[in-house]
Amino acid sequence: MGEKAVNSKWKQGVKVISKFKSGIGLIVLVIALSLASDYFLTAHNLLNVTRQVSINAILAVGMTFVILTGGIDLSVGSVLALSSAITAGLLASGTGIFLAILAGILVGTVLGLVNGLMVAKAKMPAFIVTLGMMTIARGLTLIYSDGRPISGFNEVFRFIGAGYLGPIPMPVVIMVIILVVCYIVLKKIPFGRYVYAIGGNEKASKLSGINTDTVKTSVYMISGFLAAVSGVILAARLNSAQPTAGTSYELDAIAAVVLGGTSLSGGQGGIIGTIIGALIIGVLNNGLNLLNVSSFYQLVAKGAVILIAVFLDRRSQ
Amino acid sequence: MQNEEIILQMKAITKTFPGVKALDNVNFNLHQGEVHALLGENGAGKSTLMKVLNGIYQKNSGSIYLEGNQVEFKSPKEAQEAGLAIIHQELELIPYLTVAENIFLGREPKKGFLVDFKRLNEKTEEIMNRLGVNIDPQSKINELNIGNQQMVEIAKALSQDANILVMDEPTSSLTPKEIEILFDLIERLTAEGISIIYISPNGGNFSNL
Repeated sequence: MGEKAVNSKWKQGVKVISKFKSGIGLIVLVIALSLASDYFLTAHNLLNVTRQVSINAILAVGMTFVILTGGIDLSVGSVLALSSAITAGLLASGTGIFLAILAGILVGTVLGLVNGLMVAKAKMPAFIVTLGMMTIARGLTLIYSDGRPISGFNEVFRFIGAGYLGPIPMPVVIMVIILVVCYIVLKKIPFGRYVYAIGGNEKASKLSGINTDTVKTSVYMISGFLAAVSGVILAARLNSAQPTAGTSYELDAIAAVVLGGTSLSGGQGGIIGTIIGALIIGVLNNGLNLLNVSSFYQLVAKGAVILIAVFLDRRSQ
Repeated sequence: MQNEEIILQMKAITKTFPGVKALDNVNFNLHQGEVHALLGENGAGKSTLMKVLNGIYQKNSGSIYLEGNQVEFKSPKEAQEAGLAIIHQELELIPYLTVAENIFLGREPKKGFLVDFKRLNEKTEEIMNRLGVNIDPQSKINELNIGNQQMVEIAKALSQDANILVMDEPTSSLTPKEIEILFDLIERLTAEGISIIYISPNGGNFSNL
């Protein structure tokens, strides 16, 4: 075997490792925590972690669509709160469950549509558009709820957030369904490939006849829709819709996407990386709790992990 | 070859920009199966003429005939549908998608809702065989060298049944070996009856064409 062949084998190896590096990071973290805490690797705790992860994972899946096109959605935390408040308010006033959920999800989707139109049609920067929407949606939530939590739902509604399907918590069931559907959408249908194409080279996508405005608008709608779904789950789980719910959730969602290896400039990455990223954040939170690390230190640790991950990512490119 | 029928005729094309007359009564004829070189310094109007042809610019006066019929392209897409493809100097490919996905972007074969990746790759393989180049349909564009990326652009044009190919300074970033492969390919394309407009800033090396 010549030196060249060895070299190319080596390169191939590096490529494989770098493709799975977020997965490797997660495994290392899990091994370290199972050594540090006897309780960590129990079924009970692992189900607990996945339930805690589910809200962020659902938000991060929507964020993945947006970031793949080269955009960003800072409004998801506030949209979550508004949808949650609207569903809760309608339930409290006696509206049927189906209609209340539908209304909450519709509102989130429409706000996503507005984001998308401003980014795609009005050519405004996504950062500014969604920053504005983040503030507006938070304001609307406070107006609608009068700044007070809306609490007390019936068992059927609470089942969505607090129930179990066999041993699996309902939020995890919903998360898995969303993950599977979104994975198929991104990898297997033309629309998903266009999401990647636009992030890779928007001009070329347009020249190929792709309606780039429609695709860009759609990804913000998907993000708004999934933020609203998260809002409904959160209200059901907590048996209460808090007007300040979801504050800074957009940052955890972005962190999960980035930890999962999706490039902020678009075109590269995907759902599997994002779920691993969300799990890394969730496992880290859970592990530090089990080890009795104060929540102040946890914030520092979480931030440091994100910076280290992005640093390693840059180095390997 | 000159006896072949005229496939494209541009008559008395004039295009002005504010303060500049970029094209003044320009005539241009292209025969089927020929390579027609457009030479000239930068700013001579080669690219402007091609952009008028392609529908990127709208001409002020003059007329364009494609296979005898007068045409007015309002966008590159319309020109493409009529069988006219431009391969730009800066390649218009998606770096992280595969060769096959790039070639059929926006026109991928489907099975129900899903992209039919098997047929996509087979169709790409067919085009690559026709071009006589050995590029894996499943490799990503950013894994290919510039020469192969250009082959993908040509494959993309052919997959859209282009019969007129405009190549804008195609050799500018190619190695001598890649240029040789390109010229070889151009020869085979013209033998198939495809006409090529070859834009070059200088005399270039056309002894092989």
